[in-house]
Amino acid sequence: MKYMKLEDRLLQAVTYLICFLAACITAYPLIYIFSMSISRPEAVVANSVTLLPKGFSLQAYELVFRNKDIWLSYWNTIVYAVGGTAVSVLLTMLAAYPLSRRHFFLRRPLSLFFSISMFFTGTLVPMYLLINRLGLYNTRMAIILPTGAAAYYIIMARTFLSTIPDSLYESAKIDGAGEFTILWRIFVPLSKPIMAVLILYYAVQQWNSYFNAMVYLPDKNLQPLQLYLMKVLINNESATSGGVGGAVSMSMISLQLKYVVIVVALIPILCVYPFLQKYFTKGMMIGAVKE
Amino acid sequence: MAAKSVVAKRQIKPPLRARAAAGARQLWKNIRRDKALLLIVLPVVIHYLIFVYYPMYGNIIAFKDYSPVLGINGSEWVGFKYFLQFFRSPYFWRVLRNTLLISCYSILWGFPIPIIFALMTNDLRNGIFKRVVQAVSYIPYFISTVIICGMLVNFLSPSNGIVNTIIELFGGKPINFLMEPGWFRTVFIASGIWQGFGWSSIIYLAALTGINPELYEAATMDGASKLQQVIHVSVPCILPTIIVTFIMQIGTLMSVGYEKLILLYNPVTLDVADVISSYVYRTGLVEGNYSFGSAVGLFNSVINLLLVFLANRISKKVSEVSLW
Repeated sequence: MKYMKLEDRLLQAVTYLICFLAACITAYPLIYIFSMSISRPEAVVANSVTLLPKGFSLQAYELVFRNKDIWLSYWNTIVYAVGGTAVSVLLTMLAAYPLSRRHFFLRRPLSLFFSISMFFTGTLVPMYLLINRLGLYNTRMAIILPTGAAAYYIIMARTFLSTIPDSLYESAKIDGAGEFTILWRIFVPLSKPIMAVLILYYAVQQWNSYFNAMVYLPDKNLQPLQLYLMKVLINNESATSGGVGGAVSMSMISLQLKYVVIVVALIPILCVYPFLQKYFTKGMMIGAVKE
Repeated sequence: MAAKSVVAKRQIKPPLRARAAAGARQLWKNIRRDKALLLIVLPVVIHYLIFVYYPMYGNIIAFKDYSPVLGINGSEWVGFKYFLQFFRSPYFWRVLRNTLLISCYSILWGFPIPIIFALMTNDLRNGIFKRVVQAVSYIPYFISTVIICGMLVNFLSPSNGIVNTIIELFGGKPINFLMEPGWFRTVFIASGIWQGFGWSSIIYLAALTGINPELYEAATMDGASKLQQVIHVSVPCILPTIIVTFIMQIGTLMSVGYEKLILLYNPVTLDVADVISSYVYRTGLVEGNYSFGSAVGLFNSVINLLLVFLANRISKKVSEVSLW
């Protein structure tokens, strides 16, 4: 290493220390939740878990896995995430492609048409009335349809598509390919990076949202995981369907059940996260580029 | 139809008419040339008309006495009745104050942290350490609002929450954070920063990686210390990004999201926690005062719009950086 001034060394030490602390503050709650979920119920109730698990017990997991409600809501969330993401990605690409064609005569007006939604939208009540009027209230479509293509992502995808060389487009045109063929055969295969980003953004958004479901889906059989979590974690409803037998009483395990439910809900995101992280950050970078 | 065209013929002077006709021909030519592109974009336009523009038009019920039987168009026009009702209600000042306080504090604390964090992680030399710090700091962004609130409720619980366990360990008295009006904003804002600081730093990191290394070399030659390099090279180089981000934050000054608030507040903390958007949710959807809720929501949207324009204007004048 090169010679460093004392001042610089000091600064570097402080930088490392603060970054380390920042990472600890972020990671600690997550480690704590996991430890709470697998510790012995007695230790959980006695508040003796602080960082690492005390003892080992999967009893709470067993109870949660036996609960039909949680599986049903899990399934619903998957349906919404897959359905909603498919609709959103499709619409985003359909909007981004024409906007990326420089000769398209409605390019500017349509850009404006989409962008306005970033600054002004219908408020909560008109949206609610619309969902009712369309007959979507209490149907899966109330969650899948309205998200659609966000203007911000349309712009992001358009920015990406305009980086694909014009020569590809021109030569395909000369070969007699129509716009549909060009979009489907040339641009979509070349857009895998941006589509990965879009899928991730939309899917995480769907996976994590609860509000629309709370407002539009009174039917318990249609409710997604996040709504179930809300009931258990915030409204304090019980997370078990049947009674609890054996040495551990219900009151003892109910606290631990909450932590188990959090872990179960976090696992999919934390499992895919390491693989997807670079795509997310890539998306942020593309989005940051101005026209 | 025929009468109309006769009138039109008489009114339009030949050159103008010729121009209009040429324009129409050009338009028709364009449509024929780009019909495939038009077809491709059509579904999105329809989706926007239904799910964006129709609710936007639906805001009009703020000026009407909405009744579900009469519908949006049939309901009686009442002008600014509901706006005035909102301005005169005691809740107006409460929600306005809370909205401004929460977003000002959020910006005050939450805006500089990602910038500092980006400058710091950018300076980390150790590749693995750097990557771990970054990866870990982004995670909370992907945790759902419900889980964040669930974590807060359980961690801050006065009887068995970890935070109070630690406080008691040091001999303090347990605090019922979520039931104390004095603590509500702190909890709300701090958890928001915890969730977002890593993710928000990415945009600055992107700007930092774009800086020409020669600038640093030149600074080193001039004998600048690391700290001086950060202050005189890094910060000025990412200033445009900082300004744009700041404009966007100012634009959201009046829009504190309800999704996290309505999970955390309760009757005891409502006095410091209720913001405009949560008030819209409660009056509009929970209590079913559709027109009143729309009026409050519309008031909020218009202010937001004005704020974005204003911030953009100011930034253009001061620094020649703008959103558009």
